[in-house]
Amino acid sequence: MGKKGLLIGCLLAGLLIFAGFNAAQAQTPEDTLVVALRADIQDLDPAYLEDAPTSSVGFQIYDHLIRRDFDGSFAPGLAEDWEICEDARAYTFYLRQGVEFHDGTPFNAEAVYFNFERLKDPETGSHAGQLMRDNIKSMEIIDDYTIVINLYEPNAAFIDDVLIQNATFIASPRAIEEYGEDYTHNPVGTGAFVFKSWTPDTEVVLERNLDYWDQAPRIEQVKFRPIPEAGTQMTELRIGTIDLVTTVPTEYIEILDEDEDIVLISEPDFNTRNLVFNFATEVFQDVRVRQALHHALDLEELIDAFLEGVAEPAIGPLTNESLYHNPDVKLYDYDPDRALELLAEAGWTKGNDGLLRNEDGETLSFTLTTPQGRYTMDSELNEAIHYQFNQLGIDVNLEIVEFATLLDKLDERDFDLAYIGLMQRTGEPAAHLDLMYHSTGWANWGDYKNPEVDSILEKGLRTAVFEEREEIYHKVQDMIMADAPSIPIMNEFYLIAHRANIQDYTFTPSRTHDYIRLYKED
Amino acid sequence: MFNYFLRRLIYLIPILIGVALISFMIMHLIPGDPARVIAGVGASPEDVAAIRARLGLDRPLHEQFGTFMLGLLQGDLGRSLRTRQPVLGEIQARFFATASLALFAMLFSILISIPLGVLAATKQYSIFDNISMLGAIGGLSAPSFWLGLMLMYYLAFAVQIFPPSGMAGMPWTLEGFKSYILPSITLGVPSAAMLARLTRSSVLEVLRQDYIRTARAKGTGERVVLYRHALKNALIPIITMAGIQLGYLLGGAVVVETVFSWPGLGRYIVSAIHFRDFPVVQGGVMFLALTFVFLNLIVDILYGIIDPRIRYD
Repeated sequence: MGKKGLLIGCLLAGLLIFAGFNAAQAQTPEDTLVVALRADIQDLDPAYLEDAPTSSVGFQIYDHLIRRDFDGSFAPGLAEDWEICEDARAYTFYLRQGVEFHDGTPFNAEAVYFNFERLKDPETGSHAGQLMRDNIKSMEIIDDYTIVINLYEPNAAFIDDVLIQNATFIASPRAIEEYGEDYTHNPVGTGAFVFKSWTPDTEVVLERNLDYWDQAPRIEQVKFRPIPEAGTQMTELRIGTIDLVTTVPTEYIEILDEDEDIVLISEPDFNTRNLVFNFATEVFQDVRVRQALHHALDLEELIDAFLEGVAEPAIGPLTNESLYHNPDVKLYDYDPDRALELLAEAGWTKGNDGLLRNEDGETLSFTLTTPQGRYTMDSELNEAIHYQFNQLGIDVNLEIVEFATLLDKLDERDFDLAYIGLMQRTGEPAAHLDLMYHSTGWANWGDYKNPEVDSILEKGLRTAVFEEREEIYHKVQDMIMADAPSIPIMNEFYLIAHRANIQDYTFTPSRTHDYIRLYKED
Repeated sequence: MFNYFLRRLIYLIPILIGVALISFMIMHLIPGDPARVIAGVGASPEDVAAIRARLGLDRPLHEQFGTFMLGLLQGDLGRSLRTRQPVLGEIQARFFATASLALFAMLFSILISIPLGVLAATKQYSIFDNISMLGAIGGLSAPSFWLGLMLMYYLAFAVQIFPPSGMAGMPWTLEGFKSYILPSITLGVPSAAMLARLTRSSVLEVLRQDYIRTARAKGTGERVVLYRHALKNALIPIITMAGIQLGYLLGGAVVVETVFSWPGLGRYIVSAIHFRDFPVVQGGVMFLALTFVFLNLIVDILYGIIDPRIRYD
């Protein structure tokens, strides 16, 4: 046995030494950018392209008619120029000439028409289908490079709401018809990178498009590697086997900050995190109770404690980064005494047991529902919020659920107070406020209804002049804040880390990454 | 033998129907609507309804189950709700990664555990015995995500011997082989620990048998007693356990596959659960159940080869 053990020992040692000679893992080649994804991509057909990992690949393969510039304003994409008619009911797009899809077919008005009609078709079953059908009444091809889109209703937010989303990437009509259900493994766009291969759960490889209409990318190849475990992503980044991580968990900030080979970027983007009141819950029907709960929360302290440097307290219902954000919106300061006053006015006073009770002796109680692991520190933050409410004498029941369950609960209105985020690729106010605070908004889970807010939001959609819109939306932010249908908690930052040898990497708050100008330098 | 084999195959049918029914029911009973998850937070109720109709989720449950079983009989597991690709193809693409990793882990754990267990048994209550059995308890108790991250930290980050994650190629290429090492060890350690303890007790038991005493009395050398007489009989429970362990390694590699970004079946099924991708979960569970049952069958047949006294009837 001794000999055998020795033999095995020798074998193992040999293996280690043998591996040792090949020490230092191959760093990524200079002509290739390796990007980590949280999960594998799902479906590269724009009609079904919804999740974030697939979207980040889609943005390299496809173009939009109009793209968002780094400051959030619009810039020409496949449309060189565009006109909006006065009542925002018709949009004319002048398309870029001489652009070809990666399969060599020409890009023109026909291609735009084909893509949008396909989305509108209920048979396609696209997640964006209803949106397209609700908005687009008809399309007219004026000539090869001019197309007019007529809307049912005036919509000043059409470009933001409808035209720039994952589904409206322009794909090659020929490829879609030719490949059918296999299109997802053969996607063809006009973008800066050409799809090369996809090995499920292993990698997606793109190669640069030397004929790209903007400018040919400097980096030759981009590889996306799905690495689900954050710790593994960080190890790979620090060794240099990947170059870029686009979603860095907050617990790694310190380690990455200290690493000289890593550059860490943290920037706000267009998201909000809110506590939404359900108006069907009786206690929340009193505006004083909702306002009191605002006053009961010390947002500054909560964010300092859990999300220092990675989030900022929300200033009102519209994401802080929007061009239409009202910085002077009236907020509710942290003031527990004021909170108790308001609650007393609403008929809730403290009993001997320290709990708030009404005349009938009932306690002020409700359930606080939060997802776990969906947003940074979501359940931890809500445990603290739960504590701050309890301190006031409110009987709060904390419910931690899976995100899919939370969505169900929101849909069925089966909640009292729920923590939910809204992430948009844009700061367009209609994309945030209409959804959450218009009585017909699909993200108005609490069924908040204020006819005045509704009508002013509708006016905003019919107004195309920036200054007029700005005034409208500043006003509505104040109105919503006064009604307190939700407690806006914070804007979460977007954390990105890349190897220090990556130069000229840029990204937008709308989370689109620009790999065109990027290069490596040692 | 043939009759036995046939009977076992027939037993498979109710087992697999049961698995299909249970996995189908669980997926449909837990809260969360796949159409809702696919559509994302940004979708209107009409969009969700459209997706639900496209996926056939608006039909009654028994009808959906019928469709699933009918497809199953024709070897069609349906299409993934997320990727719209055939589930069978997606499973096949990942089965090799999972199966080869499980085999490597099994190989590792057998290479470690059997010599260790035999040695511990022959030197019962020695320091070596105590240390190795303590190590085995440690190996059993170490959570694999922790073990995986530790191995990764020391052998891929501090000393950069192995790639930290991913399957770099087929195991017969150098790069591919290196990428198998860390996940195989992580996956194999708990089985190795269990098998080492089992080997020890099994060998101890056999060593107390009369025929061992007889062999020794005849003057047979200790090595021959141990390897020719004792070990062969001690192997039966070890093989049983190894077979079951291999089944677990196939189905239970989720954590290891996640930590090491391994393109395997477990990770695929778990991500499908998050997305409520019913066809993938059902198909994947069926596939794993089938593999598990077949492994057990193979183990039963192995008994006969090792111990010809065992008869099948």
